[in-house]
Amino acid sequence: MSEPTPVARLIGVDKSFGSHTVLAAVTLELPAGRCTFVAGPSGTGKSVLVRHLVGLLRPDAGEVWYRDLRVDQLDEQALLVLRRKCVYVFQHPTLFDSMSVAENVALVVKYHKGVKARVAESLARAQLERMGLSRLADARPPELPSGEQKLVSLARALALEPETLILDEPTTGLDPYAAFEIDAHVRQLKEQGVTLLVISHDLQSIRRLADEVVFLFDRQVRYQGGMQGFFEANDPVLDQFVHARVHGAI
Amino acid sequence: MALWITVGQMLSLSLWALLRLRLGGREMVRQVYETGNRSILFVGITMAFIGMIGVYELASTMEAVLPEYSTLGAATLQGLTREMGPIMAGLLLATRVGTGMAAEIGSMQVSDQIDAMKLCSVDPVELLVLPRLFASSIASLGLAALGTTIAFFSGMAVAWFGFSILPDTFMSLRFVVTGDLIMGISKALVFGFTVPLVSCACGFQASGGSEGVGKATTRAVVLSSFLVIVEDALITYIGEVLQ
Amino acid sequence: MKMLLASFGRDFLDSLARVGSLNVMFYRTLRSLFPPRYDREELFRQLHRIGVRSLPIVILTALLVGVIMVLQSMTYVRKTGATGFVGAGAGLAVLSELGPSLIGLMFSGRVGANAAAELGNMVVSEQVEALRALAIDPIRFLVAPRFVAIVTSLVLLTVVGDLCGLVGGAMACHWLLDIDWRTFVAGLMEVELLDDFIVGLVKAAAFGGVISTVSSNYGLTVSGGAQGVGRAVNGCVVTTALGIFIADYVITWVWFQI
Repeated sequence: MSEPTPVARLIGVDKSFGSHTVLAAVTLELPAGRCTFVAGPSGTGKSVLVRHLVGLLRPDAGEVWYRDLRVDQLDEQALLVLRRKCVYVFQHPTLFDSMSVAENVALVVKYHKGVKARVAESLARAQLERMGLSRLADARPPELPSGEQKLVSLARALALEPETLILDEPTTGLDPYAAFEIDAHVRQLKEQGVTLLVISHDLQSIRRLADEVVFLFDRQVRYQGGMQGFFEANDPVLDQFVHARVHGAI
Repeated sequence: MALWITVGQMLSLSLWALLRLRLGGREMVRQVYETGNRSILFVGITMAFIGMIGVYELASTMEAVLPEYSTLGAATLQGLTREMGPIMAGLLLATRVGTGMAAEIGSMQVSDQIDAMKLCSVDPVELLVLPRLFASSIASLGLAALGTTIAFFSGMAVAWFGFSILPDTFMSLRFVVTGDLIMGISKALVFGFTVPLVSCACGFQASGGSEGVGKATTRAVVLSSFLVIVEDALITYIGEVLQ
Repeated sequence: MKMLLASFGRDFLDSLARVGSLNVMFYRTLRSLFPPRYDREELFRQLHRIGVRSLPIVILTALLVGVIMVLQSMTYVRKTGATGFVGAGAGLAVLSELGPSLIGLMFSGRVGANAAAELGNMVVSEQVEALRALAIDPIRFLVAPRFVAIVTSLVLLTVVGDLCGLVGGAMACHWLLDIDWRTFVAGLMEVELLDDFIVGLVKAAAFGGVISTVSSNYGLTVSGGAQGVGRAVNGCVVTTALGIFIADYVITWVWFQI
């Protein structure tokens, strides 16, 4: 298999909040058309790292590239264009509580396809249908269990038809069946050739889906490489994480 | 409806505390300082602008009705003492202090701190509300007096530079009588009492996370401002009847 | 002493920063209004929510303001014997000054504080970030329709409020002071009211701009959970009140120069 071209790159990214350094000189490549997992113990800045890619955060130093765009130097208007191609899905569902599920999805369609509200609504329903979520279309988000809320927020992101999708802990806090359902959708996207970046410390998901794994530890990339290598790496930190051992550096 | 029950309960508790002269001691003094300190700059600046606007408006009315300005200063001072000083101070108090109290108590309510107090058999009303009530009445009086003074002097500046009325002419006490002073003071006291009463009650009624706090705060500012205006009309009318 | 100076300096710098970010917000709102690509449904929904639902409080406030002004000008009339002042004084004060500014203050509490709280909640629950991640400009989607709706509603409400204020004044004359309400109307007719009516509406439009800009700014810069939302609402109404009276003074001053 030939080495795929990177769709996004971070080069020497530093980020601190006050005196708390979260990332120190992190360099990372996101290969096109592959499914990359970012793993690591809680609080190592996984979300912080990927938010740089869509310009929700800006680095203190270093460069962020998306194809030939220098993301860390784009203004807010240009970022809006980028975010249409590269969509970030939050860990919490962040659905708009005052609207129904279908309206949540339709909002995105209406804004980006420039169509009338009624057309947008029917496109949104079609999107929900494709994902097998038609039964939820008229519900209000707060009424739904968290697994279904996450599916809806995934549907909302997919309405943009992104070429790159970033998922922030899509299966955290879900029961195994709901997690499996999310993973099935992710697999489908992978088969469609969407570039995926998934933040997760769900080892099952990693085994099921990952092409590449990036492991963050102590402000830096500890491991980047294939999925097999991740589980078999001869590194005490990775070993502790993969086998959930109590004693160790984490 | 539940809100008014809370207001009623707090009102009776506070009147009972007033009768027994248990006003909250040191905590109340601290609250007077807090309330006054937090609002003094805001009230000062706003009242300066209100004084200037007032003189412009009054002068234009006098020009239309009387065509002469000799009573401008005296009328300004009387209007400020009886009406604009206390009502504006009351509205600004509702804005600055009322929302603050509703937000503070509301946040405590939604994070179950109020219930925690009750579980320690501490009465939240006695601990949180009573000192604020009396403190705010005293602070309101001070702020109204200060605001009236500042507004009068800023008005004087406008009269001097805008209408060439010398400060000697403007600075006239001949309209203000004891009745005006009593009306101003009683308004300030009543407003100072109403604002925290209603705002704290709104805070206690908060429920449901940050959304609840936002709603409680909004409700507090609307209700307390509106009550200030209603009470102002009532007191003005009572004063009119007594004269 | 040093601490006092330090805290004063910090407050001063904070307020400068706030004034700066308010200007940026105002500029970005205006820019997102041109070309006018509003979501018409959203606009109507906001107009209904903001304008129609504030009607009762505005009507009550205006009636009371009319009553208060008539009662207050009575004391002046007694001293000078200028009966015309009951109508003229109260009428002018309501139309050009107290109507717009008090209705503005109530509106700021009812609508501005509400908008700040709503936007604040959306920030706290990451819904605003989610909008940005979905490539929807929060200014265009959340702020612009509110801006249009707030300015429009406040101007229309002030027209209604002016009317109610005058009615309140006439009622106060008739029932509370036992003066024939025709005296009030006659006093009103003696003076040129149209100018004051117009300046009142200009003020209302400006206050609407202040309320919308300040509340959006405070709402979108919330941080720190429920407490943060409370603080933002508090800051919002305080800054709005200050802004209203500064705008009021500037407009009054400019009006007098013309």
